[in-house]
Amino acid sequence: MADALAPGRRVRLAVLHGAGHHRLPAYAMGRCGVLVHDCGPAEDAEALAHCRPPAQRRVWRVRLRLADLWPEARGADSLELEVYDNHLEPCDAARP
Amino acid sequence: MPHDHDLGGHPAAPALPRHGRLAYALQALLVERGHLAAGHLQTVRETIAARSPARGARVVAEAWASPAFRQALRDDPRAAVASLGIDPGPSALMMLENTEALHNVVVCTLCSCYPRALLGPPPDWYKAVPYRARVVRAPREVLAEFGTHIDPGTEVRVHDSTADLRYLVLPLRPAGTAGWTAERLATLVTRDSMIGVTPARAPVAGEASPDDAR
Repeated sequence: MADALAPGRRVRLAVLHGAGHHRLPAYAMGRCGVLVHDCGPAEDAEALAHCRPPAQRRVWRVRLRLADLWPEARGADSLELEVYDNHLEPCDAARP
Repeated sequence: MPHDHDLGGHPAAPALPRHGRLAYALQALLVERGHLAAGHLQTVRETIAARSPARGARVVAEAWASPAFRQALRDDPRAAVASLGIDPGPSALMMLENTEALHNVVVCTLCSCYPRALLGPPPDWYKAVPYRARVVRAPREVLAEFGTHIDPGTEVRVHDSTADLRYLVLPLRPAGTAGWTAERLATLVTRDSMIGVTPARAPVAGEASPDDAR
């Protein structure tokens, strides 16, 4: 969905399966957040970690509410993380 | 290669654990085969040793003292840091500005990404599992363990350094520092305040300026 990415857009973070070098923490997989900042192009560190030729990605900062991550969380506290664009999905997609 | 291969002449080498001895043996081999200049690793070690929170403190103090520099830090953090004669390091950099409404704190849950160019090597607790696992889930609780109590009306925002960026928290400028030079302000900027687990140090009695301006 690289073409449709823009600040303010709600996205779901992918659920990555299997062994490998994943730069998406498990606690955030499958959760929805909002794109806040386009950090620009970057080489895919997940490919680099396996000595594969890295694809060009874009890195986005995604903001999530702690309340959307943890059952006991309350209030407006939030979390931001950097996500490669190939791990971003439309938020309306069915949960895998 | 003989079994008693020179371990790089490091006096501590024989006492090192196996992986340490392997590292020195590899270094000696690389030098012997001409892949590595003899003094190169020492230069790298000295570069690493020269990095300390004093560099980050200079950046923060300058941002407190100069609105123009603060804006430059927002626009192009690496260039702004370099303009002070400080090496910004190899990674993209982002400033996280604390305000009365927002408190930022940094973690790397996947490993131990850290703005080493500006803060030197990370503290052990930053790399340890309890901090990494808990600060993303219960940040106020973890901050309280550092003695930092964030007002309930202030949003706490955790930044998980997962891909390509390094983060430096710009703590709030302490009260009682009106008119201070950047050099003097830098004495209040601690490592932990630039990670976001504590505020900057407050001036002690007798140190504070009478009029309070931020």
